[in-house]
Amino acid sequence: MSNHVITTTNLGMRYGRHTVLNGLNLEVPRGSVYALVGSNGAGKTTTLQILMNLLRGHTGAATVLGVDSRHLTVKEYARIGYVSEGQEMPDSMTVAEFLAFWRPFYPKWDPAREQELLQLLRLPLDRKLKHLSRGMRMKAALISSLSYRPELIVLDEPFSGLDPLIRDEFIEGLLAHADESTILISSHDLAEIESFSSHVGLLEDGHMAFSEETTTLTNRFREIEVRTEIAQLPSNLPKTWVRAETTAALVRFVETQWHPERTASEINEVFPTATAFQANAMPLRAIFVALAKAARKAA
Amino acid sequence: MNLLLHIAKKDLRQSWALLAATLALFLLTTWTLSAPRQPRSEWVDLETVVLVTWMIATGMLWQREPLPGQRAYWFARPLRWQDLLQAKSIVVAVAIFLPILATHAIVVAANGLPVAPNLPALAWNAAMIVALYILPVAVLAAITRNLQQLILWVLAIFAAGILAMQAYPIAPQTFAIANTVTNALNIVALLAILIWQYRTRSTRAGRMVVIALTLVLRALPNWLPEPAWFALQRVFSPAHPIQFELRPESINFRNDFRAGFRPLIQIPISFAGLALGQTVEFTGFHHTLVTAGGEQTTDAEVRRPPGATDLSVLLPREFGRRHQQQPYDLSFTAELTVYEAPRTFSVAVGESIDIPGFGRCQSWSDGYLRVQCQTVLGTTDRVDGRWAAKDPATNSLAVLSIAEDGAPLAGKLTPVTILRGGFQAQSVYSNGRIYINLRKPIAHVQRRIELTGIRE
Repeated sequence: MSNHVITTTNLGMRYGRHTVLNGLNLEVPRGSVYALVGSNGAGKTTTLQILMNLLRGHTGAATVLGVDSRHLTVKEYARIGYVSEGQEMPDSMTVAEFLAFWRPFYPKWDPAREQELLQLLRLPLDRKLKHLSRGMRMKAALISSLSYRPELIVLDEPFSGLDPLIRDEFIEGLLAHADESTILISSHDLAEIESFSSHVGLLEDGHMAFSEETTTLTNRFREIEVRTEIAQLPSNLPKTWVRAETTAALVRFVETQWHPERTASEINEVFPTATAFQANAMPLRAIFVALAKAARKAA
Repeated sequence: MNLLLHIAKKDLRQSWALLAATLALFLLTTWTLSAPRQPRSEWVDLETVVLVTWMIATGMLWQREPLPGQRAYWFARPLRWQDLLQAKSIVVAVAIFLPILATHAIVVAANGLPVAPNLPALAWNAAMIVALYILPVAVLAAITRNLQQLILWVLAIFAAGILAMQAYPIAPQTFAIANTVTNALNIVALLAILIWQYRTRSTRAGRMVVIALTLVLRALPNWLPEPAWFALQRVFSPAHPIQFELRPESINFRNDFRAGFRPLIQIPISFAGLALGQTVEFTGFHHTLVTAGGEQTTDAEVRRPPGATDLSVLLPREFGRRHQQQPYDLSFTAELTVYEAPRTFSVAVGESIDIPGFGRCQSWSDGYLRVQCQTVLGTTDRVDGRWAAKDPATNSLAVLSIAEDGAPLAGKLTPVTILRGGFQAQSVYSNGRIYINLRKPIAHVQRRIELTGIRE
């Protein structure tokens, strides 16, 4: 059994002349909560839709649960839960009818789990889907996708536009009942997935800028402040430093390969007049913004 | 199978109110249009109303699981497109086909016509209604996102069809065969598109194919020349030994163009090879007239009224003027329909008669002599009535129907066809009878005549 539930190799996709995915390589380890992040239009939704066989990539290949994504069948879909932002729901069904409709399609549907989720997410069973708020509809979709203990849960921008309370309830429901699952979740807002993602991949210009464990990522990024008085930044900054800027008595940059001794040594070498420096841990959101801005500047 | 029924039950639950309303309207329409002696409702075209409600009901049913886009709730779920399509078909069978069949059977029975022997034809007709009215809407619903889009597409397709039909002149003689072939092609193509769209969800390509299909199939009946349709008709027709019997010495040619008449060639014509009682009618001519100098025309007008013994060829006046005193060679091809010997039934004024395999006819008088026949789903027979109070041979003839009504791929919305005729008799003969002749077409054949040296 492969250690990766999802693999893509050189995945490419165009809409007319516009290239959305450009040689995307992605590996989602089994059991992980993988956050696929990127700015709006980076290609996250396209990637997930190719993985779910809702779109066909123009180049490359993708496998999901060991099967070419273009050949996914009901057998695989019965092991996958897919919830997407803006998913069109059967408006005239009540929540109860919606869940009852899906029940026979999943051999592993667990009524007890369904009840737990209904209680946790507090959904009115007799309400028609068209009379539910957006967040409640997403909850209904989530319950219908978690009740059969899917091996893989794919969530496309699930929190977009949700109020904080519903978002927290959604995450609670997801984490409480997805213990056996691998989760791939796309989002343009890192703050909302930082707390529970085990891996993160940054999609940029149609390819993966980086993809690694969240702890490794947060461990290797530091925002550094160096107390030194220099007129302008030297040109020989280490390549691992990005977003360097200077004020009257302070130089600030982001170290992308933080190592206490080596970084200290490099600071002393570049800024001999430095009197002190401070390394601050960065939240994922700050890392993402720093990298995005650096990439834009380089471009 | 369980999942199929599960999906179908869900669709029926969600659509029952609309389907019930549609069927109630359909029942009302069928009843109104099939009622004997009742004038047809003119204030509203009920058939159009039924078609619109069907379109809405079918569209909503089909769009409950939409195909375009990537966001439908049933995508990435263990729901096979084959099951979905079959479940929709089950709903159509249960909620549309069977009620149409039942409604039609009830209306047939209410009109005093036998149901059991007509059941296969009624079932086939109900299937054709589904194929010709429900299937196209299902296909359009499969390539559109919502009801508004569907209605726009229906209007656009309708407009495109009208434009395509007007692009070529109409050939009424070939209407029946052209209509049958076009409908058959349409059904096969629509089924293929529907299955393909469910299989691939290639909405953009599906839309282009639908537009192309509409243009091609609407233009086809008029675009293909008449001889091609006649040839196709002959392919499905049994052979027949009928031949022309010509007496060249009896041909009469008058070229009175100076008196303002068109030059006229009259050709006495009779047939050999017809069995006793069989009759024949001309359904089409193609001819070429060549002068001794080699000039030719195909613009002559050929006439042969039903029952006439002469074939009249009227030449263009200018052509006749240019080639006066010249002999002509005439070659023409005739498309002939041979009818079997008529079955004749008679009904007295004020009475009715059941005619096996046809329907019921009745006659009454309201100052004029009236005759009316009701038949299930029309007839391909030629039906004519002859009033015979004193001398059957001299009384007037009323043609009640001609051959197009009972076309097998028509899909008639009303199961009972009413054929009416009237005789201009100012007084009523109480002992008079109406004789009704039914003549079944048995063969479509083509025969060719070559006449040389025709002179004045």
